[in-house]
Amino acid sequence: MELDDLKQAWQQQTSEDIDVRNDKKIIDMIQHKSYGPIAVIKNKLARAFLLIPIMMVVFYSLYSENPDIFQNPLEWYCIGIICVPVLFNAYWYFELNKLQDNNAAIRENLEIEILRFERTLKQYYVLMLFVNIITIILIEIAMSYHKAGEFDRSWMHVPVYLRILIYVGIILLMGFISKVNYQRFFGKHIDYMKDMLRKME
Amino acid sequence: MSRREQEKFFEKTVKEHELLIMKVCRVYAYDVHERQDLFQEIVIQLWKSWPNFRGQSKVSTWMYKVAIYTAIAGLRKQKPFIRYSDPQELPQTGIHVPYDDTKEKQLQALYSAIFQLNEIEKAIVMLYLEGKSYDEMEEIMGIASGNLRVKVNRIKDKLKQIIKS
Repeated sequence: MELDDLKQAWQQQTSEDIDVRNDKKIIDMIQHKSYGPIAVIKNKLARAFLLIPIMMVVFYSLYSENPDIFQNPLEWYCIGIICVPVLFNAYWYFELNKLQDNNAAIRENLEIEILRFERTLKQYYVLMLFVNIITIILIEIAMSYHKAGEFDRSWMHVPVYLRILIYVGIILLMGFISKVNYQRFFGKHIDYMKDMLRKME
Repeated sequence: MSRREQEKFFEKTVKEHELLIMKVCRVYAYDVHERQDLFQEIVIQLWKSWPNFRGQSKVSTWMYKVAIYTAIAGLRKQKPFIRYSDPQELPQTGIHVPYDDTKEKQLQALYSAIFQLNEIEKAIVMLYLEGKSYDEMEEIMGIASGNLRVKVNRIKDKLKQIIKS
């Protein structure tokens, strides 16, 4: 049985031959939410929006209890370390809308999708590295000006080389956590897309 | 054009090419429920892509691009609407269909054999069976026509081997 012999049979198939039997009307279908991979990722990122009002409430209640709380650079850092990923996820959510255009060829679409995901992940890692470096600078400044309360008194006694080692360790750990988290989140999808692209070579 | 009119026009266009979507679902989805889910997902993606379709290519070409891409990309969903078609996991009764010259049996054997190809090969063989020219296949897949010819020949050999076994 040659493939070419089956062309005619293939082309003569009717909708009755193919067991899809979807009773829904086209108009009703388009009212449904998509649950493709991009939609699933978007739903996860949308949870970041929910965190924004929660964070605002938490910060406001902390501030009402102790108005001096945000005078310390370390507290500002804590806000930053929570806000940056949340805001980044929100930014990414809108970026993913740009992937909805399927008019390009399949290979091109795969390339665009992989490129966007990888670029955004790189931006995220660089941003987190930047936030961590800023933190270290803030901690050192806070200690120099004795603004970190009890913390600076004990931390100041730690030798400089050990402090540097701990900072490097924290940066590496944060980088590792970010990578593991995002690999779990998006990595499988990117790997799968890359595999598809390889099969097109 | 109002949204209602757009929806009507879209519905008419999809209905005219419904068989094309059904074939994609039949090739990529394992059972009837998955086919229905995939069908709906393709329609949703077509609707999302609809405002950007300005008739630069044939409607069927645009539909194939969206439908195949949705089927391929959909495989990596968190809550899969299509199970990954690992040939080892397929029921063996579906694979060893004896050759029969009736149209129905031939198609059944063909579908079972296609199921054992990878996702890209499935798309290529489907477009080939549809009688698409290599230029059109290139426009849909984004693979150079020369490379497509090589792939088609390899797929033919592969399918022959599968059906023989």
